[in-house]
Amino acid sequence: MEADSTQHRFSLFLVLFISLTAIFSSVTFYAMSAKPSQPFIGLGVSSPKGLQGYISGSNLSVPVGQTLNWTLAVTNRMNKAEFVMIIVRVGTNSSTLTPNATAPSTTFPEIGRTDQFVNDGETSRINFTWVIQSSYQTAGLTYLNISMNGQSEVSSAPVGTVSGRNFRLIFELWTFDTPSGSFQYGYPGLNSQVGVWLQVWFNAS
Amino acid sequence: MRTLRPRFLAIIVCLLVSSTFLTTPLHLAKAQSSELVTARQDLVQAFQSIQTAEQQGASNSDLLPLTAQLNIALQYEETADVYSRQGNDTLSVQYAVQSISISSQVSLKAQNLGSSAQATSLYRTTLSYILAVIVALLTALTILELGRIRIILRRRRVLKAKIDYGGR
Repeated sequence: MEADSTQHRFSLFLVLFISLTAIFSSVTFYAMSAKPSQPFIGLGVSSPKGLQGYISGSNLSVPVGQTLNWTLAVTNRMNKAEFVMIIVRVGTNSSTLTPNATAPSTTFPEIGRTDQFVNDGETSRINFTWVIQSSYQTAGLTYLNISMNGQSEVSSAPVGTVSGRNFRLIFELWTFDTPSGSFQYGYPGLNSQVGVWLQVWFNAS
Repeated sequence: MRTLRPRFLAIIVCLLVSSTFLTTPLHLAKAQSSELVTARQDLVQAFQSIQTAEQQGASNSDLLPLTAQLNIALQYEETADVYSRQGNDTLSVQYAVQSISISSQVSLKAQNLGSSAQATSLYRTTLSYILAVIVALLTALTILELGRIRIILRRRRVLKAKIDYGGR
């Protein structure tokens, strides 16, 4: 009779122990697992004197020879360190040549590029200094010679506008793809590459 | 014919000597560009080491100084590239070597951080699951022996209670 009771209690103990072990192990697994998050990289540009020209029609007026000190901000929330490159281009109001969510602009001339390692969760600030060194006119269109971060000047040709109005600086974000060993436009999203770019409209005066 | 042979040999020797001089700058240029190539490769390798360390559980705060150092190495590599384009090979090599040195250090530190983070992570995981099993064991025992525990507690309460003789 007593042996039966002991056996019964032991069985009950085993059932309880196994069930509770499963429950507590699940809780531990949940607590130790990484929380789900959507990876992204943010790109921004700012100026200590304020910045306008994010949309067409509210253009900045940039005199020839004036050095502008801007800051590019890259926020990395990819859950891993990233090697980013920002390609700066000069463009006009042609919408067909504009970069988009999947492809960069290949037609607008590149003024320069800058690259940086950005730790996960960090916002990296990159100095961006640029100046319109000179402008010239050909066939009724104004073209600019622009230099960036003290590098040699680059002509905006074939990009030119009437009276030097409606130019824009385009900033494209590229990330280093380790398997291919090269930079890819945007960053790898959950399903496909996500293109990141921004623009600042200006008139050369 | 006999007089021609020494002349012919002399010409060949001259050609060989001059070709050595011609090839010397090429070798230098190759060595310098290889420094730059190595600097770039080491940067990428160090970057991969940081990513691996992250996967192994190294914290962001530990990796932040390494990323900052890697950016300095990147600046050196870019300066080396600028000097190389300007034709100043001596300075180009100097900056490339500095970049390589920093990248190598970063790579090594990242690997160490990754290894220790992996060991810590394994220790924590094991400890957590052992704790979960112990808690399950104690809870099972408590549930099973709840009746006895109640009896023991009741006895203790009775034993501790002051005897009231009454009469006063």
